[in-house]
Amino acid sequence: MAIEPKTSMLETIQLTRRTALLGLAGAGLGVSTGRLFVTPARAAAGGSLQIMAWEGYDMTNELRDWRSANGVTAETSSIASQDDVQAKFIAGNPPPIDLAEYNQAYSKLYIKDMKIVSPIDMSKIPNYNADNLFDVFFDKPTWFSDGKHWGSPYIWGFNTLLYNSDMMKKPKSYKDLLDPSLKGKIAIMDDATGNWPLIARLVGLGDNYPLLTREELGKAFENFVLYRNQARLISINQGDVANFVASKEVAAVLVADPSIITQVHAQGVPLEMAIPEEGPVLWVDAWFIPVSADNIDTAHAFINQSLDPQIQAKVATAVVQAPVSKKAVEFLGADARARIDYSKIDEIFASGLPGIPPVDDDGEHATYADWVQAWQEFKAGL
Amino acid sequence: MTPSQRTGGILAAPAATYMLLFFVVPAILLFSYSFWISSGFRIVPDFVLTNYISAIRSPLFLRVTYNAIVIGLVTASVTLCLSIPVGYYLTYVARSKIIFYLILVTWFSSYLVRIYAWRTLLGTNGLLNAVLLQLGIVDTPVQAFLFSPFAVAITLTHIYLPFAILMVVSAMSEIKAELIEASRDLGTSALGAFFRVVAPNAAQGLIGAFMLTFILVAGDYVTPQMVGGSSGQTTGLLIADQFRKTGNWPLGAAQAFLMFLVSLVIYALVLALGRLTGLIPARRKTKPAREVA
Repeated sequence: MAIEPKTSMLETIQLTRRTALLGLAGAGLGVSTGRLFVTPARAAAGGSLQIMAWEGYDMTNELRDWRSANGVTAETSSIASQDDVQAKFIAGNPPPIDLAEYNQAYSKLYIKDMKIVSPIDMSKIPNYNADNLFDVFFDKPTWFSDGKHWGSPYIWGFNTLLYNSDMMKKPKSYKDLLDPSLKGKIAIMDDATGNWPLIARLVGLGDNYPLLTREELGKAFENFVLYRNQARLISINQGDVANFVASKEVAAVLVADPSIITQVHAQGVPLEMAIPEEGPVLWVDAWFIPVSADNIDTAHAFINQSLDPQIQAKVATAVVQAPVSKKAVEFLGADARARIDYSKIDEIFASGLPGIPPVDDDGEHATYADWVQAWQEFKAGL
Repeated sequence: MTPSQRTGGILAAPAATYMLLFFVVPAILLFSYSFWISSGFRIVPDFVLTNYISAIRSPLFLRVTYNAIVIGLVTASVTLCLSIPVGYYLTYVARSKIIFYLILVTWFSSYLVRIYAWRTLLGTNGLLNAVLLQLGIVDTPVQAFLFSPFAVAITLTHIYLPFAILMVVSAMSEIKAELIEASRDLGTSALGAFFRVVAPNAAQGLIGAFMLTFILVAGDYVTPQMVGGSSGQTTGLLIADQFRKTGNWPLGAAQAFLMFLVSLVIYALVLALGRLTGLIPARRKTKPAREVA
């Protein structure tokens, strides 16, 4: 099965200043419904804030002044994979985490199944309004259901193929990485949910993901073994793979976070981003306040700051990703603005965001546990 | 209860309480989890053996457990073999505290730093490959040094060698040098003195060093993750994934207790092998002392 729907998305991540401006104008017109003018009470901030966030996404630098002005002490636990978050909440007595990031794919699991998310009081988050956020993030079912806001979209982006332009030519497809000359020179991230959509797409089952049968799952992983055979390592985190790329032991990385580019460029290695024909893996991260949170007011205030257009622009630039605030686009540097055509954001998200396989067995499809086991077997060389 | 027993009890109470609260109780809880069931990230109390059965039937579990046992045995054997001469030297020859302290100093560096150091040494552009290339032994860098069971074993040998040396020194320091001299005077060779005097007397310490290294290595999941690659994955990583990724604590607990059983079996086998070879003296049946009228 071809993976045509993704092609349109690829075209949208090409960028011109003209289209970006047109997009902004269009978005401006599109906000007539929604919360344009909000005058809520802000949340009082202060004290210690326990945060779980991806490395580089906790706004340590960007909110330094805000923390200092409000007497907030942030303690961040870095997430190496999204599973780190739910692992804290499986048994009773969850830790008093005030704020955590979650990938859109985990919305149902966290909100409906595990019930670890408490509703956010948006009246305390004035920056959450239709005037500030792109329409695709404002009051959408992924984060807003049953009349409650469970998550506040914070940043979005895509993981894609990164390659060293000194060591290989720009790949057009992930299949280019199977070239014998690249044996032992590619890296796979140990990010199961980031890789799973690609694993399905590589065997033409991208449109079915995450609902693959067990037979299809086996077929998909059987094919992905070809990439493992080419791989130098399955990297446990971004810093790890950045070191291997910087030392030129690795020429390309599958489904990687482009923020690695910044780390590697600092060491003089020309790591570039490619959008192969199989498409990037889109994601949106949101903040949620766990049911066990202690410092709830400060968590709300923190979320509000995270949606400030200037802060959004700074974070998006630092992690080489994209803001959910449309007002932030004007604060982005030329390179960051040129990376994504924000005028076509609706098209980018038109084919939806990847989810995770069903947690409960429906008797037909491979479950989340089946996928995890397949991933474990893949990593163990089976 | 005598006063000395009472004093001993009071002195041991803090450690015993600590172990009871933070080891025995959690271990019992973990054991009970192994009979529960997990469904969609929810843990439900039950009493089933399905977790043990599915673990034993899983090719993945068997594969990584086999890896863990092999890497554990190789690392423990190499570590013990390396630590015995050092322990002997420190106990009977040099009696130098400086060398002893130098060995302990290696603990001052972080566990992770040492793993990263080995990655640097074993990598394609690492020291080992550079030397081999320089000497003309290989034409191209050898990739197999890193991300292999070899890399896991050599890294963990480095990490646990000081532990083993400490235990060996402790065991040997109980054996008087005069016993070795006496055996030599009676015509035993140096090697014979070791096997017939030192080893039997230090057997408990040597076995302790071997088993401690084995258990720590077989259960380690950070090092296999960092330097093991696909062929060097061990059970620890699989168990960690059950707790982190799938939320299947009952299955993870069952796998952990199966590994515990494996360690017990290995311990029993080591003891049996020691007795069979005579390195471990057989227990003597002591007759009760005859009362003197």
